Amino acid sequence: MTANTVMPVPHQDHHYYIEEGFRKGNRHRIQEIYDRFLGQLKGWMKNNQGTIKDAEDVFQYSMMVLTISAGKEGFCLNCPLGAFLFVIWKHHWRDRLRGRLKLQELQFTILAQYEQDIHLAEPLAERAHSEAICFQLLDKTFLELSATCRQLLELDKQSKPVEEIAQTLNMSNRNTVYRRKFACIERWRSLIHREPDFDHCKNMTQ
Amino acid sequence: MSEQDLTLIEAYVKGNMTADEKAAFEARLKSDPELSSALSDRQKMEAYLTHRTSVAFTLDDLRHLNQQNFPEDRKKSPLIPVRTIISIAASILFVLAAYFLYNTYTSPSSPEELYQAFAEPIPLDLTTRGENACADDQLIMDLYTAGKYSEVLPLLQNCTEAKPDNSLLKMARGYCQMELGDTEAAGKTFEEILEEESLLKDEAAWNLALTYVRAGELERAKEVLEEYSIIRDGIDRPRSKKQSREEKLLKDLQKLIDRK
Repeated sequence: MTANTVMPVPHQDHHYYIEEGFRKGNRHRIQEIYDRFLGQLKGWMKNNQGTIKDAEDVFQYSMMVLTISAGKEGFCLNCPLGAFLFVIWKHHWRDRLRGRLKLQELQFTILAQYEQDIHLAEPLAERAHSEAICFQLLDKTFLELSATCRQLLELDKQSKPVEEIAQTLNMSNRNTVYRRKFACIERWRSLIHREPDFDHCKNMTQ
Repeated sequence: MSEQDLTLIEAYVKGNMTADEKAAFEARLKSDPELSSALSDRQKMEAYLTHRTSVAFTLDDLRHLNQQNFPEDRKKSPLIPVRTIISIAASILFVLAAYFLYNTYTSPSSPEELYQAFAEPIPLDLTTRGENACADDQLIMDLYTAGKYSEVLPLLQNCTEAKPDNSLLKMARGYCQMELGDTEAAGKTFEEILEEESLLKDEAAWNLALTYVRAGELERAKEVLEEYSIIRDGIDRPRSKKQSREEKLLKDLQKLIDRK
């Protein structure tokens, strides 16, 4: 690390929600996010041309982005979770309204409690937002693979011995496992390339 | 993408290369955009799989939590008069019933029927190479062409033992085993061909799928078709006859699976 590199300082919400909630799987902490922030979003949406149903959709999207970001090793929440979520809501709602409204009408109010943290949340949330598009595409196409392919790739990722994988999946030998694995990867790749959003993924570094 | 390149990509992604191998691979990446693109895709998949297998709270968990927090049964006031809804429902029911009846009479109703609709003998010509594959080539071809599979199978077995590199003989052996209902042996024979560098891999995959159909393992048949079809035909090539027959079988397979 160079002397100029500034490591982000984790906000207390990082430990509470990201570490304890997402990384350790404490579902109560994650449920708290719904309980604490969904109401805020509904109120904000009402003032910004949205309905309750729109708010629920936007909230689910922000939870998806957060789940993906929390799973990334280097992700560090350096602002309050609410500010991070707010920026995601704003971006996503703007994208959805873009087709319906003129540009000058896309001026949103900012939730006062997050105003001072927006400058920290913006870059973090913007990156998370574009990474999520790519990740969502991988998730969608992975679920389109056959059950055997999904299981095979997961077992391989968990570094299970090839013999064990062959036995679990009722395959005759090591060669069959390798061959099927390559076939699965190629099929997954072809599914990814068929997706219209694939361009978002092209320049994404993992 | 060749199997050799896929193996290299795997070794690179998993960090199983020596320093020299890694340097050589990285040098090749600079001049081979196809390899570089395949590696980039594979790295994204790996990152996704890392998330899927190592994070305690995954997207699947999130889907469950969303279902709990946003149940689908929100009451909505009907915007369309009830009478119109009933008429639409009746029309849909009529169309569905017609579709069901049409399907019942036009697509196979059992795995065996499906198998019979698609299985075709693999053409066996042992004379074109100018050398004898086996001592009794002509007899093998005659019995096979006449559909006398139980008689020709022992001859084929002897012959494939004597000529283990001849994939065509193995294909014929597999076909006989499949026709005689020995799906386990047929499956092994076709798997064996798939593991070789054989030009008959496509046919082996197709017949492996049919073997699973005959054994009543419809999901596995579907998986085999899905996994091999893309590799064989490539992503951007035009549709071939083989693709059409695969699509038809996949469609009929799905209908049978749905009916179960």
